[in-house]
Amino acid sequence: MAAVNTFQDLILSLQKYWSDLGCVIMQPYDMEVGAGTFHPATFLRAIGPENWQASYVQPCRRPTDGRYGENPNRYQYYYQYQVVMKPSPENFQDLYLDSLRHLGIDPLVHDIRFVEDDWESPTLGAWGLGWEVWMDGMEISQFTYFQQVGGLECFPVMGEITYGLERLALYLQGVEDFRQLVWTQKDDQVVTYADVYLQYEIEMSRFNFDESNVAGLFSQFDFFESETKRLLETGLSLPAYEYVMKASHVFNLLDARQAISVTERQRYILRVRTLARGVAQTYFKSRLDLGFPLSDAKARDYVLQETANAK
Amino acid sequence: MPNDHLLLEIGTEELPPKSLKKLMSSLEKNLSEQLNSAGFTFTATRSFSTPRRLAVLIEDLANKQIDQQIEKRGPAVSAAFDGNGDPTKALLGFARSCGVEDPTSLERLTSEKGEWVFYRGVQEGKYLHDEIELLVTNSVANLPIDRNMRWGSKRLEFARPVHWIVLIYGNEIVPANILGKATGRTSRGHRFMSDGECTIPSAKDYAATLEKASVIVDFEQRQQQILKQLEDQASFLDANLELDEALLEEVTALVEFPCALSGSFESAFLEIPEEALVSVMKKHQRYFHLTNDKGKLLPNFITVSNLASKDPSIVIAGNERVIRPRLADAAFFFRKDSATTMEEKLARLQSIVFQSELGTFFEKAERISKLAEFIAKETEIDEIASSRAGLLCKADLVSEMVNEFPDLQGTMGGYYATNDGEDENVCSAIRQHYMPDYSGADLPSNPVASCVALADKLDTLVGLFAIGQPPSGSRDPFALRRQTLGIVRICIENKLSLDIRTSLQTSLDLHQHESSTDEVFDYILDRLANWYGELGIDQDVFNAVRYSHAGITDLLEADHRIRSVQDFRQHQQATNLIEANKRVANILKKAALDTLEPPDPSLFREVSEKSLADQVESTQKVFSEGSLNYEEKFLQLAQLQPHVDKYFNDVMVMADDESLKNNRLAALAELRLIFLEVADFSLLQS
Repeated sequence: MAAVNTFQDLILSLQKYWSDLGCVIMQPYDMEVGAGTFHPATFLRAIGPENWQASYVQPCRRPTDGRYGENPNRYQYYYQYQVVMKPSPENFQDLYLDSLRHLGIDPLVHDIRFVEDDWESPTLGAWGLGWEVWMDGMEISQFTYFQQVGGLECFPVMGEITYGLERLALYLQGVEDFRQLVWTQKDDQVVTYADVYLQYEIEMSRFNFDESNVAGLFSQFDFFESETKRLLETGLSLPAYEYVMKASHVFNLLDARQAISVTERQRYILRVRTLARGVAQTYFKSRLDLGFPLSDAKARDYVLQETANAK
Repeated sequence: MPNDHLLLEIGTEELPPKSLKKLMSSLEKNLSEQLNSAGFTFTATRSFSTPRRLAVLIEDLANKQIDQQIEKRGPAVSAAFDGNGDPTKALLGFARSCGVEDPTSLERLTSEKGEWVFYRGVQEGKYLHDEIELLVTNSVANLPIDRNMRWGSKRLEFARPVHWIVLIYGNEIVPANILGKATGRTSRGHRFMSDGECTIPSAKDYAATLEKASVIVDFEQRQQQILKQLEDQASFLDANLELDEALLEEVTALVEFPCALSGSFESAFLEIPEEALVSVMKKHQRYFHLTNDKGKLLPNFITVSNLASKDPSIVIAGNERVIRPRLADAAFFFRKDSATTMEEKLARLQSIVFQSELGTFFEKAERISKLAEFIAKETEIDEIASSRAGLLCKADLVSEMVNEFPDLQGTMGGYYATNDGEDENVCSAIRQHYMPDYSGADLPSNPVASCVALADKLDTLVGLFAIGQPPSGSRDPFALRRQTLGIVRICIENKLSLDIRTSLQTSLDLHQHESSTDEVFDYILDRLANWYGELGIDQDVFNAVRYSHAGITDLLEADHRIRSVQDFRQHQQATNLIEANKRVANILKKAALDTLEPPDPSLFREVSEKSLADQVESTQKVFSEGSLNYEEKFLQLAQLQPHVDKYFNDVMVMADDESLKNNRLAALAELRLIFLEVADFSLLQS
C-alpha cells in the first residue's frame, strides 16, 4: 500500500477505501456548517427507515475555535471526513480500524482506543452513544451510533464516523503544527497547509472575534428563522433545512462575538432546535408519502406500523 | 448431585469505563440470585470485566435443581368415599391432580379436627440446561445501565453493541440465545495483540486462556498491575505518584493489557497554575501526575496504554504532542486573563445573567458582598475582607481559563486576585467560596471564606424561593439541596454562631423582594433534619428541639441542644420526664392558654400544688441566671420529677370549680414553658 504522505493523499485514500465498501461519495455541502453531521447526507438521511451509506469531506467552521493560526492544532476552519452507514454494520468498528491500517497506521505500534464519549447536539435535537477514538492519547475520530435526530427516534440506527483530517495528517506526516502539513508535493514543489490556509485563518479569526457585524447577524438570524418556518408550512423540508444551517452558523458567529449572554444562549439554541425538529418531521413525512423507497421491507413495515399507532 | 463450573461472558464494543465495575458486580449478583431462587446450588462466584466484556464464573454449580418435597391435603375422608366405600368424584379428581393412579394408596392425615386424604411426593428438579437461558436473560435485563442504546436494525437494547456470548458448563457449550446471540465458546482476545477469536476450552480455564490472548480479565488483578507499573515509573523518575483512586479505576476500565509509559512537557508550562495543569492531565488525558519531595508538580506524566507497543517511544511522543497544545492554550488563556484585574472582570459580569428573574452575576456579586459583610459582623469576622471577597468572588467567570476549565472557578479567581495584590484573606475566600462543592467535601478553612460561602449559597437559595422556584423532586438545577447542606455544615462544623432567620431576611431585603422567608427557612430545617438523620441523631430528638419554644434560629446553638437532648434521653430520669411532659401537653391541649392568668398561690388547695409551683419558680430563677449548660439544665429539670409525680397523684386538674381548674392549667403551663425553652420533651418517644 502506498504511503499517505500528503493531506490530499489522505482524503483520496479514505475516499477510495469507503468507496470500495459501497459508500456514495458525496461532495462537501456548499454552505457553512459546524460539523459534518449537519450535511443533509447525515442529518436528514438518519431520519426514517431508509438505508444509506455515504462518505465525504466536510470543511467545518467553528468561529470560537479561531486562534489566529497561532495554536498548532486548533483552527476555526478545518476538515472532517465523514462516513455514515445505515443500518450500522455489525463490523463497523473493524471497518474503521481497517481504514486506519489502509492509511498506514500500525495498531501494534500506536495505542488506539475507543474512549466513551456520548455525543449530543442540542441545536439538532440529536444524540447518540459512542466514543472518541484515541491514537496515542489524541482524539483522531468520533464514532457514534445515532439514537435520536431532530427529536425523532433513529431506526434503523445510523452509525457515524468522523475523522479529524488535520490531526490524522499530523501523525502520518510526523509534524506538530497544522502549518507544516504538506498539502501536496510534486518532486521538489511543496505546497503546505499554511500556504493554502494560514492567511484565511488569521483574517477569519479577526473577522469572527472583532469585525463581524453583530446587529446585521441578529437580523439575519431572525430572517432565517422566520423563513424556515414559512418554508416548512409549504412542505419544502430541504430548502428549509438550508436556512436552519444558516441560522445555526449565524448563531455561532454571534457566540464568537460574545454577543449572546448565558441565558439568551440557551434560548437561541432552543430556537434552532425547534427549527431542526420541524425540518426532521417535515422530511420524515415527505419520505413517508413516497413510501420510503430506499428501505428494507421489514424496517419499513415496522416504522409504518409505529407511525400508524402514533396516530 | 453432579456439579461443575459455569462461565458466562458477554462480549461487547467498548463499555462505559465509569460504570464497568458496577455492571460487573451487578451481573454477578443478579445471576447468583437467579440461580439461588431457582434452587441451583453453587459454592462461589467470581466476576471479570474489561472494556470489551463482562463475565461471571459460578463455581461448582449443580446441574439440576434440588428436588422439591410436595405435600397436599385432599378431601376429608368422609367426603372421599361413598357409602359403599368407593372413591367419590372429589377423591378421584384429587388423585388425578397429584398424578396418583390408585386413590386408595393415598395416605391419611389425622388431626383433632378430623381425617383427610393426604398426598406426599417428590417433584424432581429441572435441569440447568433447560433453565439457564431464562435465568441469564433475567440477570442481563436488570443491569444498572445508565443509558441503553440500539444498533443496526435491531430493536434490542444494551449498554453497547453485543458481539458474542460464551456460555460453558464444565467444558460443554450450553446452547441458548442471549441478547440476540447464540451461545458458544468463542471469545475474542486483545483487539491487536492476539489472533482475534479465541476458544475457551472450559469454564475454569477462562482467565488463563484470555491471558494468553493478551487480555487480563480480572479487574482487580489488572488494577494492581497498573498500580505497580505506575509506582515503577514514578520511582524511575524519582518522583511521587499523585494517585487518584477514581482515575485508577477509570483507567483500569479502559484497557485490557495495561502498559504504563511516562512522558514529559516543557517546564516553562509550570508557570500555569498547577490546578489547570492537573486538570489537563487528569480530566482530558487520563494521565497520572507527579510531584517532587516538596510537593511541587513536575513536568512529567504517566499514561496507561492498552498494548505493549512495538515502539513505545512513538506512543510517548504522540502523548507528549497532544498535551503540548492544550498546555499552550492554557498558558495563553492565563496570560490573557492576568492582563486584566478582577475589578475589570467584575464589570463584565454585568452582561452575564445569573437567572433571568434574579439579575446578572454583577448584581449577585453586589448582594453577596453585602450579605457577607452582614454575616462577618454577626460572627465577628473581618467585615472589610468579607465584603471585598464577596464582590470579587464571581469575577473569574468571565476569564478564559474558567471558560476552558469550568471546574477551576474560584481557584482561578484566587490566582488573579493574588496577582492584583488583593488581601491574602480576600484571595483565600475567593478560592474557597464554592466549598463544600460536593457531598462530604472539605469546608472553607478561612473564616472570611466561610462568610462568603454562606452569603453566596444563601443568596441563591433565598432568591430561588422568592421567585417561586424551589427544588422539586428531581428538578434542582441550582443544586439547592447541596448548597443548603453546605450552609448547615459551615455554620455547625466551622462553629459560626449566626441567626439564620435574620440572615435570610437580610438576603431577601437585598433581593428587594417582599415575600416571606418561612418557606425557605422550613426547607433549611428539613435538610437539617435529614443531615442529623444521617449522623444517627434520632428524628424525635431533632423535632423536640425544632418545635421547642426557642425553636431553631442559630444552627450552632441548636446543634448543642440537639446533642444534649440526644445524650440526656439515655438517662434514667429521661423516661419519666418524657411521660410527664406528654401528660401535661395533653391536658394543656384542651385549654385556651392565651386566656390564662399567671397562677394565683391563694387558689392552691393541695400541698403538692404549692411545692411544684415553688420548684418551677426556683428552676426559672436558676435558668435565668444563664450559667447552666444544657446538660446541667436537664439535670435540674429532672429534679422536678418527684414533684410532678406527686402533683398528678394528689391533684385533679380538671376540677369542677372553673377558677381552680384555670389556676391549675396555668401552673402546668408554667411548668411546660421551662421545658419548652430547651426542647419539647412531649415529642420524644419514651
